[in-house]
Amino acid sequence: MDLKEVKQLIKIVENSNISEIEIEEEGKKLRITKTFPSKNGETVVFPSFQQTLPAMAPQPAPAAAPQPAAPAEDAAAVTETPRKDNIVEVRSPMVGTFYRAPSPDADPYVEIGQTVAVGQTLCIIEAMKLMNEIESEVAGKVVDILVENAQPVEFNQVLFLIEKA
Amino acid sequence: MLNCDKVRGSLNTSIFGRSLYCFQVIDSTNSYLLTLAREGAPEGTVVQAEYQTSGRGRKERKWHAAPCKNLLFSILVRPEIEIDFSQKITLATAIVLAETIDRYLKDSGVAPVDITFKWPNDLLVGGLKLSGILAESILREKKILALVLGVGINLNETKDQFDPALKNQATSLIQLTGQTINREKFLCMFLEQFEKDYERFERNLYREVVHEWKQRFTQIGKKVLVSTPFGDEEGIIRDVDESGYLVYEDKVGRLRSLVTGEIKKGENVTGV
Repeated sequence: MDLKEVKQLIKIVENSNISEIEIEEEGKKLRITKTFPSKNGETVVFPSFQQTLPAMAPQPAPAAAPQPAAPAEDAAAVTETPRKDNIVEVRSPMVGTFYRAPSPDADPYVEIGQTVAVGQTLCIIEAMKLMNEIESEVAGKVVDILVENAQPVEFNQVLFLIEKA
Repeated sequence: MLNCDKVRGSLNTSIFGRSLYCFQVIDSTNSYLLTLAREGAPEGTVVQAEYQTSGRGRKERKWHAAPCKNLLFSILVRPEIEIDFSQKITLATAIVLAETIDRYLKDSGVAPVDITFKWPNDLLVGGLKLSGILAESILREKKILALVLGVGINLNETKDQFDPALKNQATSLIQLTGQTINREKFLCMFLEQFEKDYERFERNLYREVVHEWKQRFTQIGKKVLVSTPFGDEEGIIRDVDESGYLVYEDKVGRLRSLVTGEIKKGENVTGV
């Protein structure tokens, strides 16, 4: 990928309504993250830790396309609107590291297919030794978990898909 | 055991420590306080224990401590500001702890100790760990329902009482000063300082926290081993940015910002 292509990509992200794009090519990973003005007028830059890391270990793309909850009837429609109306995206409220369990040898908080209640803990996001337990905002069934355990996550990255009960 | 009635009697705060629970043994002061928080405990509630049976944190680390020598406690806060700002509260707590130690020693006419910080929130003296902080929060719909700050500080534990594995990694105020620390007085001073600083930090959205924290951060420019979500990496520390993230330069000269991880080894730092 040359500089021109990177510039083009930046333009595409700038003019789109997406906040971030990540591309992996020949072991090199590029992530472009858009900055947004925060409420108090300062510019907030979302640091992307992986930006320049060489691929040390095979990693699943954190923002991998979610699996449709049901078999797709119309492929084109699925590409554009992959979510059913009753599917809720649980997003990361912060930059940090995603953990599925309270400790390394404990069972995960939730598994795919499991039913969760409002207020039930779904995962932990750690930032600077602050362990944030993320509680479910809805009651329903976990239909997908989009991040691997112990992987870094970005602000607003989709972590879970929950089908509302 | 800590004389909690004495703490209650002499504590000069309006919120912090007004509700104080003291235990001889507990699984974890943080998890107990999180349970209280879910049941509606007010901001400022404090849980103290002489001994914890279960480790907390990603690596299940326990705070090794001889009972009745040190202080282990957790404080409940319910910040009303966004998590982006309040996640710097662990840095802020380190500042409050260092200020409390300085004030306590000054009050007692004892020579000060040179406290430095290890990112993100350990207090060191001479490269040995004096205190550590582990915070846990409950978030729903991007709002903080509760945040507990777990603090462990070595006060009166002598070198021969330390766990052999920690002897060369940790220190205590008694070892550093030769003075026995009055634990009740220390806890009162900490909570009073915390109440003042917490109000000030919240009011300014934690803006000045990083600047204040860096006054005791002596590792800029130092070569270290950094533990990252992708494994350990050698680097040179360049800064701690406005968000509180560690900025280091990797082997090929690229700057990276680290949100989760720690400094494992480096000049003047023992791998604790």
